[in-house]
Amino acid sequence: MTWLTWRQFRAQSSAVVGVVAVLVVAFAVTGPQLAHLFDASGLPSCVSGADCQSALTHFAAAVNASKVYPLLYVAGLAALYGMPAVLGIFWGAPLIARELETGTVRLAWSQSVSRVRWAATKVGLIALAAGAAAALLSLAVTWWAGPIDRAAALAGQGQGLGFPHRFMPLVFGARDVVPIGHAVFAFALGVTVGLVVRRTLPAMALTLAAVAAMQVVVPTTVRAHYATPAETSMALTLAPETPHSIFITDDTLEVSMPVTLPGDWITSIRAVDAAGQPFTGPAPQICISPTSSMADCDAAVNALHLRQLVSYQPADRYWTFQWYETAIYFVLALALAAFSVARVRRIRLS
Amino acid sequence: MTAVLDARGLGLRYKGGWALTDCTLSIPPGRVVGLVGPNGAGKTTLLNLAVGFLVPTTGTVEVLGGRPGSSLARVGFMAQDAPLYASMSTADHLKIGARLNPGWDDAYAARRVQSLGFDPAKPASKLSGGQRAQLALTLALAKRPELLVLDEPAASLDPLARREFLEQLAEAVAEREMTVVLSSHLVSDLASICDYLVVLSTARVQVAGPITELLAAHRGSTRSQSGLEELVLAYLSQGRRDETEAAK
Repeated sequence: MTWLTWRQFRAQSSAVVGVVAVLVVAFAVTGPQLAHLFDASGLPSCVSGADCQSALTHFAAAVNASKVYPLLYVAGLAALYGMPAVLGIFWGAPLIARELETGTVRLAWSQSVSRVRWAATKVGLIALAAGAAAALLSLAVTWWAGPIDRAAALAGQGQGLGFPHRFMPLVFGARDVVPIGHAVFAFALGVTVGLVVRRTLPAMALTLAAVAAMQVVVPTTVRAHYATPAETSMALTLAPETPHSIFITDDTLEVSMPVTLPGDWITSIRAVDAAGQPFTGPAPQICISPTSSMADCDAAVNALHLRQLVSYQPADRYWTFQWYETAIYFVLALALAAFSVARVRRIRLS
Repeated sequence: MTAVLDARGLGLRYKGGWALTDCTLSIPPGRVVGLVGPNGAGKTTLLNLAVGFLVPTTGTVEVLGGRPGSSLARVGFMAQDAPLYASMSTADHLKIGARLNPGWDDAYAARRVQSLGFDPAKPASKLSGGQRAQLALTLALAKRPELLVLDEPAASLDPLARREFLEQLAEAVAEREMTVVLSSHLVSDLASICDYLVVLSTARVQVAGPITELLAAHRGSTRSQSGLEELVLAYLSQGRRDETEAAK
């Protein structure tokens, strides 16, 4: 069964393997130079804030001076986010659906191998291949982007490179182990959809939609709940020379100051009043009056003694979150695979 | 001797109606059974039930003394239209057979493919209909089954390829101990190789028995010099008459 699985897999795998190989080579070739820029910028040895700030500016300038680094940075993100969908569509969905569609299951199931072994071998081995391909690409991207990620974690708001650090939602799913879980899950999802729909093309379309939906839902609504967020608060004291934003409608006032927690993932920033209750308005009269100045409005807001409450996931939880999310994807993949194998056992061919 | 295939009150309903009803049938070992009937009579349904691709709505069916699909290594099956992996060569298909069947007779398979004389490196999609059927048959034969089930093996072949295929099938069957069940909508396909007949029409078994006995009984009742063809036609029209009467 192993031989048949590889024999069938050979042709369809070559495109993905080719793209991964090209990217890995591109990262391997340019990576050492990027690491050198990081070392040469003085970032590894800087101690004081001002020193580090100037090193950071140096590094950012060096990275942005070449078009190659920003391009490869984005290519790495795109490849790791595109990979699960591609694996689900081209490896997962046709795996059993195409055999049902072309009738070759009748040949396969007429051999002396049970359907369960047939399905489990196919799903198991190719899930392994999907995980390995994702692991290889993620390893290359994570290693390559290491200097940029480290610099991004040092930078505060509006400083340095302008790239998000590795705990930020966009980057988190394209670093370290999460892409492996995601790839294996998307593959298993494709297999299951193919088995339920029984037709390759609709199964591919549905798989794409489902994988894309997961990629939006998980970072926006699920990930923040892996651990209770840490909280910190600061007085909302506005002054014309410090950056802040005020947004006023008829009876609401939204006010905030930028928060700098390098390397941490800030999940929410909200204003509370002196009693600790969420503050949404209304705005002081003077802020609405067309004749008053910005400074008058700031002073009126300061008089409310508001505080700013920040919920965040500290940077040292990065690996907990990585393992947690990977485990969730693996458990889901396992459940889908088990469901598929059980369903193959009961399938009826008319 | 226990029956190779034993069906009792076997029936299968699908959305539009019954594909097979009240089928009671016992096939003794060593026979070459011809399953004949018009298209849509339930031949494929009966064979799919026998190999476990379908699950009966009513009744039971036992194959080699067990549940269908429980003794995969002992049953060879060639599905309708001889499905093969389009991109794989003859050699690849034989390798599949060798890897997936404990009783695989590699020497036999190699000899058979060689004697058929087609290029083992050619992908299945480039083979002719006759070659595809031959390759599918080789796969089913080389696993050395006790029961060989062939669903319309010659249906898609032109008359010449058809005769050649059936001759070679008869040869292969004569070489070894096994029971064969083979379906066709053409009586002429079966006349040369079968010694047992099952006539199926309108989802029912009309008659089943050794051909010699059936012919003798038929001659006795109608006093005509009819051959197998006429015998089958008589049972098919009988089945149709019963159906119209039941409808009234």
